[in-house]
Amino acid sequence: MPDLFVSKEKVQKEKAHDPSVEKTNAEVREEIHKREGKLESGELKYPKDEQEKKSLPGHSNNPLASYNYFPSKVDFINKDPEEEVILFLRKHPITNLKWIVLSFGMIVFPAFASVLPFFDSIPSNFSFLLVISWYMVTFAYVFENFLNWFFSVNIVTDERIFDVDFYNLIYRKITDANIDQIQDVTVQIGGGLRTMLNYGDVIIQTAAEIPEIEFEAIPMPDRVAKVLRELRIQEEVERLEGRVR
Amino acid sequence: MNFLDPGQLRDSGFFILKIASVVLLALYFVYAFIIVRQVNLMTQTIDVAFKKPLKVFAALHLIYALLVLLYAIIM
Repeated sequence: MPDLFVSKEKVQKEKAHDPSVEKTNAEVREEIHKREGKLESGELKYPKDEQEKKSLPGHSNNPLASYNYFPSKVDFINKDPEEEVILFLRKHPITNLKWIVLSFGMIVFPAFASVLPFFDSIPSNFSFLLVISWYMVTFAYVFENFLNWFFSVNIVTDERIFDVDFYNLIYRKITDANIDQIQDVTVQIGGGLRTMLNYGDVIIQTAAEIPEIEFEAIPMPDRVAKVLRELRIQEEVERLEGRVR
Repeated sequence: MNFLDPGQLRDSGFFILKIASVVLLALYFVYAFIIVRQVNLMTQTIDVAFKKPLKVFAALHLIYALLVLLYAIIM
């Protein structure tokens, strides 16, 4: 006679301690490894404290780092208290080269512009006003580009992935998806500079409302894909064990 | 150095230019204020180290914009 009135928690507990289920999980893990390739480094190991975090390869205390593995002191809107940030990513710093070079040009421009005959015909009040206004605009240009780079981040936690894009000061887009909704991860590194500096795109296909999330121009995209793969395995194992959060 | 008196400025054709400068700089001051608000919003969205220097830079930029606007008015 089947147990019709057994509570769901009891069934989950029994499943969690059932050796035949644990064996199935190991078989599932093996299957996934065969399908997607075994990870060289093994399982994702969560550090217990800050000291252990500092010893992890890829961890950085630099607030301007583009790749940070288990970062310290990172928080974001709608983060669960139990959620652990595993990867904190930005675009590779080389993507800022264009506006940095232009900024240097803007800084030295007044020195060259003052030799133009146009400046002899305007009063000194105005030329001084023009110069200070020019440097004010230059500062705003540099600051805005820096902010766009600094705050456009990709975050991978143990439960979700986030893509935060600040296109300009008044337009931002935040996309997130659960790890268990990830269906496919593609790494794209194209071009000489990207190959040389090891940065590229990670394109993530999901079963969520937004079908594709793209981590653009991030350093070490292969390592990021590896971490995502391991997290998917962990989610699948948790789901089978009934430990879904 | 050829600095014009405000009185001379009124009589010359640069008065229109001055008005235009003040209007543009006033709009820029609004933009600088938006930068301060957006930096606060960004630091609330992503809370990382380095947020205090960014807020300071945004505030300094706003003060600078105000000083430039005042200079354009009294010039």
